[in-house]
Amino acid sequence: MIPAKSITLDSTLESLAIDSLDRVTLAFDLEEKYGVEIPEAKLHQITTVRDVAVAVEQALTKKQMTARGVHTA
Amino acid sequence: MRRVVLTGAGCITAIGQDVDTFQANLFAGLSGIREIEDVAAGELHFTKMASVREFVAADWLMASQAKLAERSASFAIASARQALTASGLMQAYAGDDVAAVFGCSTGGRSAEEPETAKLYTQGGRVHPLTVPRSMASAGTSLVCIEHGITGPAYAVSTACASGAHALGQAFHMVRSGMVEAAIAGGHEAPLTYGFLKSWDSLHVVSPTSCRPFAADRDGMTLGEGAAMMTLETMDAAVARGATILAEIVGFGMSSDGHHMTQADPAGPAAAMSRALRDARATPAEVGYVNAHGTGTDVNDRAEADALHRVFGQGARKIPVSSTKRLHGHAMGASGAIEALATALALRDGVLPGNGEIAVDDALDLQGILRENMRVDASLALSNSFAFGGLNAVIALRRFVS
Repeated sequence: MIPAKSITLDSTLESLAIDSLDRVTLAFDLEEKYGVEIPEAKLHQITTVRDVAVAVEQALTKKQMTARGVHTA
Repeated sequence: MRRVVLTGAGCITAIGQDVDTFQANLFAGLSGIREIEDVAAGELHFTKMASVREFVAADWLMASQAKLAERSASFAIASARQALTASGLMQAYAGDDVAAVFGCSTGGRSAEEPETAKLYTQGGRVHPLTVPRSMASAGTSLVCIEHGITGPAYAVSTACASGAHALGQAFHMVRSGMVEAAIAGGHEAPLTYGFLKSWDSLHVVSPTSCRPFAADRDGMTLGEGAAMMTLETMDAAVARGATILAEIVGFGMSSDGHHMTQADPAGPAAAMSRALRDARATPAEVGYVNAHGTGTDVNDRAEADALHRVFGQGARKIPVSSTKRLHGHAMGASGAIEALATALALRDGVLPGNGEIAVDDALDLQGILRENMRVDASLALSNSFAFGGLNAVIALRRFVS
């Protein structure tokens, strides 16, 4: 087990033993939890914990703007 | 020709989750058939099945396996680890020299069905691990990954004969020298609601309990489980001091080419004859037949017919039993579970009986056992005849050092 305290925003997913299957499972779980969609292209660019957080944040922002009727590119 | 022996075994069955327990219950005639608990009364024409109760996947799965192994693959992992530990196979052979051939008929239904049901009724998404979890070859792959097996490896799917085909193919691979050793068997965990309903519609499942060869037999009992065995050459096994369970001496296959659910006795008879020819043995040498014996009217009649064709007058006295009355019909695992039962019967000199049945006289098989029979049979056949007419027969010989 990797101690939670040792995980930082800059930890790479690879260093956390998160493989490609874990990555799609993680994305699936986050998408379900937040009701968002992380674009396929974005998913493949994610390498660190920060990238995950940013991807979710961007997806949430897009969801809120869509809800308000603002369409982004 | 290289002689091939079975050196380690493992199993997860309704009558035991290790070989010792399986064997004790097999010879005690203790049935694993129980009431179905989680399907509402009246939903099915039958009320019993032979499930593996109190199987704790967490006891067997490593962290890396837990997310990927559904029930069927978990059975494969558990039984393969038992067999490999018992035989010490991977300490004796390089991964490259070992094959893995597993029979599995229905794949990972418990992973796929809930996701599909949700998708078709509510829409939405499917869990990303559904594909690797539900592949019929998932068990084979997970076992190879765990033990570093890098020789030929694949899953065999021939419905109810899958486990026997897998064992037979692995036997031929070791005998021919394609590989030095193998792990082979079958695993199956099909007892989902959808599976039970599908079988219910076929009207071949017993409304009471599976009673092979009984005059009042009324069908099969569905089951699940796994059995795995390690195979290696006799010379190498003896040289390294491995414990030998039995010698595997013949394998015969055939297709009825006839009907999807009704056997043509010519097919099973051909498979038995070919297994004997492969073993360079005569019918007169056979001291026990572990029958496919599903307990359906049609199967047991066809199998009796096939036995008469192969054994002639000898069919009237040859000891025959079907252990499905205890562990149920475990589909793709059944051929392997029954080959294990046959190997144990040869090793220990006890042929398992069919229980307190009124034998169907019309079958004209006076050797159908009711009670266990103490005899040192030297050669035995384990029959597996699948729906769709795909047949596999394994010939085993008692090993005497």
